[in-house]
Amino acid sequence: MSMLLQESSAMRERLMHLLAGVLPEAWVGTGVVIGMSLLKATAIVLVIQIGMLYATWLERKLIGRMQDRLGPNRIGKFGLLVPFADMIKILTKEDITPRDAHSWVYNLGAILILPPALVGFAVVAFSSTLIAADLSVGLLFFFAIASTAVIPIFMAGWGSRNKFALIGAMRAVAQIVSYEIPQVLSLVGVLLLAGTLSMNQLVGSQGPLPAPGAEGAVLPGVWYIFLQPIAFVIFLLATTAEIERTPFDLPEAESEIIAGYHTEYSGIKFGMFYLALYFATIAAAAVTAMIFLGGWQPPVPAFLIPESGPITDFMYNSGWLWMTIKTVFLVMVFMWFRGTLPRLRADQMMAFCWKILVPLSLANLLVTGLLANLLAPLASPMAYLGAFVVANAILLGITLWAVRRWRERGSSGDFVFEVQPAAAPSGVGGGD
Amino acid sequence: MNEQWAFVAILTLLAISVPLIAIGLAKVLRPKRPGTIKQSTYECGLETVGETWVQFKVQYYLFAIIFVLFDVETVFLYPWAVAYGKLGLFALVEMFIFLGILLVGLVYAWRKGALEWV
Amino acid sequence: MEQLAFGVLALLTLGAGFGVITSRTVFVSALWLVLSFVGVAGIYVLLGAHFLAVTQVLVYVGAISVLVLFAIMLTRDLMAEEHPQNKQWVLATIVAGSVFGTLATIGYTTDWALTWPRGAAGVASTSTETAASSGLGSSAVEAIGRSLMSEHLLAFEVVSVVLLVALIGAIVIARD
Repeated sequence: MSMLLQESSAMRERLMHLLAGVLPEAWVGTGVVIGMSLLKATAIVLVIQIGMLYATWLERKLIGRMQDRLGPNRIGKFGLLVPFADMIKILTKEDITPRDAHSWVYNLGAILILPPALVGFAVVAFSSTLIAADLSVGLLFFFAIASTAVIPIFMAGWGSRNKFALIGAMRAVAQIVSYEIPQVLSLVGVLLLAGTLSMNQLVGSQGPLPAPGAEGAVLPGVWYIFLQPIAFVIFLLATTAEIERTPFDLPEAESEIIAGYHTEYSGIKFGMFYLALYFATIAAAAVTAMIFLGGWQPPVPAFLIPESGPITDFMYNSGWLWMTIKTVFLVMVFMWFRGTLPRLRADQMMAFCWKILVPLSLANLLVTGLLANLLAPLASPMAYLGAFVVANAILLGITLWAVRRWRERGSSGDFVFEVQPAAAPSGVGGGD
Repeated sequence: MNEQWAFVAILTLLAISVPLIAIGLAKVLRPKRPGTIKQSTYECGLETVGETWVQFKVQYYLFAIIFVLFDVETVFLYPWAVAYGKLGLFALVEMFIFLGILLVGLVYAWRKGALEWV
Repeated sequence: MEQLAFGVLALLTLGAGFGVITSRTVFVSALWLVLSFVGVAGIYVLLGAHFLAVTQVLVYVGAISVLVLFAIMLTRDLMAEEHPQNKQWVLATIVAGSVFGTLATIGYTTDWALTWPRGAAGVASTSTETAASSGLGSSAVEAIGRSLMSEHLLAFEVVSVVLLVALIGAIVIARD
């Protein structure tokens, strides 16, 4: 992708010449910045839009296969034109606005649900040089933007003037807000090892290729999923809940409270909620790939890459390929969850978050802090790998033991996953 | 650095205009047949009774407060984690204390049933 | 360009503030408040406090707005248009005016030159700052972390106690 970088400097030059003819001297710099930003933003929106269209196709095909059926296959070969058919359908549906709906809050809710999902892509590194905005606080930026998604949900629920929409909205907000905590807490362990909030540097520290602008050795040099498997699982589950996908899609489940906060929206406004869901899924997959699966890093250890030669060049330029593979893989994992897991009840969901995920992520962070301190003098990726795998295994063991003991004790009705008959408190219930 | 934030601002504006364009496009393309029944509030096919008002459930508010707490805690954890490589063992102990105090809060909330969803 | 950005953001923030006090439904006031938080976050970005800006969005827009909105939705008749009458508006104007005057005077007369080494004038230069001079960004977060652990350690630990007290207080009150 060094080609792309050269192209973008060439583009910048051309833009500067173009604007120098049109604008007064002092404004050319601004004009170039705005122009380049517009180009990058449009590129991102277009690429992600296409990606999202085919994510819907993939979802229907994949889930169809999991349910032992074919999925769409009539429109275009293998149903590949289905997203376009869907688009046409949504655009031409009648927009039934309830009479009592608030004049502009109702509409604004539908409009503002999309930006949080899209703006998060500003910090996604499609390759080591293809990151739209390598903010020094990139990681926190992504979660801050994701956390603003609750406001349009409130607006949709309240603006619809529908009791059930409102209840659905409040539940959805409670869910999103609760799961944000394990989501960001689990990353503190990764941060302890990486020492930076910049997304590109975070990916670069997973070795073997350093990110542009990195100083010093590439540590720890292995993907964080190996060093922080528990954090990965917590993050994955919490993110699934954040984007409101099964098994956490209570707010929008069809058999539940009608359709939750988007009950009163039809046509394109409903389409916006649908779009936002898929954009968020792709963004979540991309970010997970970057943090835990090494983003644009090729999956080979450092000692296998020769100093120079065609293989090296390929490795350096193929960042976008690895990133795409990893992101698509994670998107399919999300769809796999949807096709396989049953939905959690609201109280199970909240209990899971606050009573299991939060303490676990705190424990993980403390253990990681301790280990990182002890391992600091050693500088080899292998030592980190060994120590962390052992520590995580121990932590996982303790957690599972604690949960089992708690359920065996019949913990006063807390946290019941199976229906326990009232007369048999010793928890000899079937299943998991 | 500022150029990157300018990009963020422009992306935000573009992201806001995408739904506007889509809705505008749909406005042109869709049929318009308002009807009284269609436009009444949807309640699984039943008539709406009473005002639009939700039963007060304090659990929502409690969850929000606990969330604010942990959010602020996270905000303190992040700079600590980033600077961790350059600090000594003392920093870990300090953070243990910080987290310990907040863990007390979580346990208290748990015991008092504030984490139950009714 | 930064002047323009600041102008826009300031207008946004102040306009949103105005929206808070003039809207007729409490819920809509809360939404305007959220907009003003976003405006403030933008101003933080212009000041170079990137971490603070992101934190502002995360905590204020993500958490505190949620708190405010929940509180409103759970305690009010939702769609009521309210026409609050304030009988003490003369006194209120005097108090508000004097607070504003004090703050404005302080704002004008203080020497705000920062000790942070950002350059001679202490202000960010043009928008085409090079990566080298803005490598400050990542070290800023680290610097915050370091100072939290050293100079401001007591404040840091006290914060955790304050948060704990807030939590316990909220639970005690809500349980009644």
